[in-house]
Amino acid sequence: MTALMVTILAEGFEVERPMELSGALTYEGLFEVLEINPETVVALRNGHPVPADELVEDGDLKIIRVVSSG
Amino acid sequence: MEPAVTGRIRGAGIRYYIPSDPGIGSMIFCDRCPGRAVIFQKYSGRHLCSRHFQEDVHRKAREVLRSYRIFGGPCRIAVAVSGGKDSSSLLVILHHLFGHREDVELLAVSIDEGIDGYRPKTLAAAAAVAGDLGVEHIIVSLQDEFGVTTDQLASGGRPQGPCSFCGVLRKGLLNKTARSLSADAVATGHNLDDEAQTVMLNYLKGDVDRLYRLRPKRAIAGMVPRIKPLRRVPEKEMGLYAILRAIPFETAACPYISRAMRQEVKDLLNDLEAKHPGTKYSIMRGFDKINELQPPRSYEVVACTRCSEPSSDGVCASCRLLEQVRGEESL
Repeated sequence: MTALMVTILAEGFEVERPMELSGALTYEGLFEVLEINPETVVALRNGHPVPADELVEDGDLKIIRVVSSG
Repeated sequence: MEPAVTGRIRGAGIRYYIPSDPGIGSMIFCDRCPGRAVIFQKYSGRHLCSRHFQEDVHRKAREVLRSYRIFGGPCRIAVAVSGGKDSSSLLVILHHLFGHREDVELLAVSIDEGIDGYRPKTLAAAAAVAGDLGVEHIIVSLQDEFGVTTDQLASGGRPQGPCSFCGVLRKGLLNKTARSLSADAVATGHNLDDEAQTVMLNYLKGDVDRLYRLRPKRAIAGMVPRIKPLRRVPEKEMGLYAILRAIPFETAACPYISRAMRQEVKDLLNDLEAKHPGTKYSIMRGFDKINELQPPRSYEVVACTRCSEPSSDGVCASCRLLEQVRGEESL
């Protein structure tokens, strides 16, 4: 079980929510579930950017929208 | 085929299946050193660490800059800085590439369009970046130059929306300011996404003339050449670059942005890029190939009879727009 505190930051608003994952999932897979286009965000795990194909691990995950989308 | 793992994300309120993939390791390293990867560039198939990613951005910028052939001798570059991540990073990148050269001078120029609640914040971010680098920062406003703000243009209820007005006036003022500073070029923070969007937009509108205007131009009297050093860097990577370099940037979007068709094209291209990595580069490459087939056209430029700025017509686009606005006001 992977425990995450996910913060989504986009254009002045911030959403924070705890999540629990059962099974292996990549960050890209997580974006898909959250309906976030991977081309529009940078993900930081405990403050460090992670490649989208890496497996999600425990910790603080900040998803920063760096490309505006409609 | 049966999915190997059943997954569930609590909090997202969604049940779904996660396919097992034994090929994925839990930690991914740089393809060029033992450092930990910060990005997977799907279009190139490479994983890069912070250092090698930044080097990759610098290399792309350097290659584009070389193609403009203006950095052989002494030159002064006016960098258009809005306070967003692209132009702030552009200033940092140009400072990195040319800061050690005494014959290359950088100036930061910002245009204040008069957009309440948006521009003051971004101007502060632009000033912070220029200040950190010790680059002189010049701010000019539409209000001072034309006596009108973008907020006023937007409140008129015109069918075109404020972007076409704002864009014309902003570009005109940027050129005039760069010329008054004796700049040899104006550098803008346009990235790969911006360029691919412009190509697609012009295709969708069937506007071949405007498409050709994207090309690097030959010298035109009164027009300071515009250069786009980041035209080969995807927008997402500009965001990553700004985060890695701790560049202060403002994420707020212009309040008028949703009125432009560009946003729809942007979303479309991001969907395509996610499914077919490299699409944005393909659009750019295809456009560059078309350009090679077309001989450079000559532009006849005259001085505007009202303001003396360069124009393809007797009266320049800025003066024509201002005339329209003033005409509406006097009704």
